[in-house]
Amino acid sequence: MARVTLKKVVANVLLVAVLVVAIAPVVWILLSAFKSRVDIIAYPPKLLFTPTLANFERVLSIGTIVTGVKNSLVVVPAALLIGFLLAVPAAYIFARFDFRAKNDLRFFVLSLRFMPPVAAFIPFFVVWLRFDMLDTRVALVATYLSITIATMLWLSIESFKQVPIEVEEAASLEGLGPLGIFTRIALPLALPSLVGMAMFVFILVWNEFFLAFVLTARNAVTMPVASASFAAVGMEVPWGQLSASIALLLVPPLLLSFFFVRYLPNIFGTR
Amino acid sequence: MTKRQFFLLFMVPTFGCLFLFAFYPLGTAIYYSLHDWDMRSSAPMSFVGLGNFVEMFQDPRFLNALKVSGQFLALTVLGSLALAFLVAPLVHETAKGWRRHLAIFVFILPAVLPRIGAAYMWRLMYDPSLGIINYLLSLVGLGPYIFLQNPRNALPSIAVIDIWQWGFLLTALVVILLDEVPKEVIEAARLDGASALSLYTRIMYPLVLPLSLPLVFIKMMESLRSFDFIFVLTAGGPGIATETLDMYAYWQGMGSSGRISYASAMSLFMVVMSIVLVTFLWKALRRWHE
Repeated sequence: MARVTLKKVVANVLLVAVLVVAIAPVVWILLSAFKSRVDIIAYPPKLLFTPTLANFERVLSIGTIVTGVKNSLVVVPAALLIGFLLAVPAAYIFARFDFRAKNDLRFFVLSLRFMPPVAAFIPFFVVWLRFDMLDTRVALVATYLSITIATMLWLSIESFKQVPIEVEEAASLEGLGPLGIFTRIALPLALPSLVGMAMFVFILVWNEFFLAFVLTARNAVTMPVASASFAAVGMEVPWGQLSASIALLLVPPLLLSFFFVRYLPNIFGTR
Repeated sequence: MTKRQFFLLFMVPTFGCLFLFAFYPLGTAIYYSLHDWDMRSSAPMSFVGLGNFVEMFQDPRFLNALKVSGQFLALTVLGSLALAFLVAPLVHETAKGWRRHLAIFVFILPAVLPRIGAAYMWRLMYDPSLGIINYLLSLVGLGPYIFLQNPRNALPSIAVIDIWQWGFLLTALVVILLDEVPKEVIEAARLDGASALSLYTRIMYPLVLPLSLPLVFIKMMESLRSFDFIFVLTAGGPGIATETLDMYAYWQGMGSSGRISYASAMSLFMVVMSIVLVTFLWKALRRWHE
């Protein structure tokens, strides 16, 4: 009996240790955001200190960061909303209809979903350069649509498949047309799972760095680009301000992950 | 509305956009890759056929980037899988109920964070003079180590960050998969006197591995996009020790040299690599759904 308990204790201690490793870097940068300059460069590193909001005050007075926050709050929801309107109806077709090119189109959507941004950055750059639209929010939203439509389309198919088909058949027998079945039956029933999916895609686009970095310069920078502008490699890093801007960058993903964690198996195709 | 009209209404706008987004960039990239075009010079674009591709495979810096990307992919995929399959049983056996939900939540946190944010967190922790990692190592009499500025350590140090993000995410997903192994199977094995180790190696893992195969391919494709990390942590250095394919393509196209056509050739190479991986993923997903 005593051995079993010892095993349990060891297992629990190990588990807690692993959880600490998983979360420590996040805690560490959040702590640093509230540290004064002196506390940040203190050695040995300090766990206990007098918190200060000075870094946040300083960061929010920097033009680039304010622009970045504003742009992200416009560009990401716009790309998400337009993506949702285009992707969700098509996903319903994939879930409920059979047609000749179905498998080819699904493969095409999957390829787009996982295409690394480096594959497309040059054509996008040249196109926006030609239209004189580099460094505009419109160009960035349009570019992000290629990510949001493909990803949301792929992920929504599963959401519609989980709607019981009997309900839709019953509605059809009562004389409801295909559009009515979609708007009155399928969409409301799939909505919770679609919202979970949309939160995941929100995080994906909110975090996107490479395309925003290539396609913007000053006016349309998003939050990740603005945060990264603090410190080039090899330069002295203002760690307090950088940590504060990273903390701001982390807020939406941290909040949203509470809600979409339930839909995780859907998102990674393990259910 | 007929079914046919409904179908067209729902499909045509969406795929119109997707085809435009996919084939226009692809077409232009192919066009540029067959030409010689340097943004910094006023010389007109000239047709060079496969010249850029020939040059690519003779360019030692491209071959280095290919090697670095391959190493990064191998380190991060194997590392993430090892972490997931080591930690998942610990969670499965130790944490039940709400504690398991909490553990899963903590494990997905690193992955939902922006890679830029993760990179800066670790750059702070890796710092040779103020970094907490060297401090913790010094407590057990190790170090100090130089992580990112040493060509030998830089790539593994970056891979650790990727494994921290993806390994824990895979852990959460494997925990969820282990939950779906039927209880009777586990009970039967326990009654037959199977040890905890053989329960996992003989029964649980063989059941769960095929289900996690799609995740492996997703992780491989994810490892091809390392730009955010590399850009923040080393910018490809020291020297070209951590210069991956996307970093080098960026450098050629947008960075100092502005060789749009050469960078396009490299982009196309990445497109082909991704499509190969997507094909594997596709097959794995389809087998799983049947």
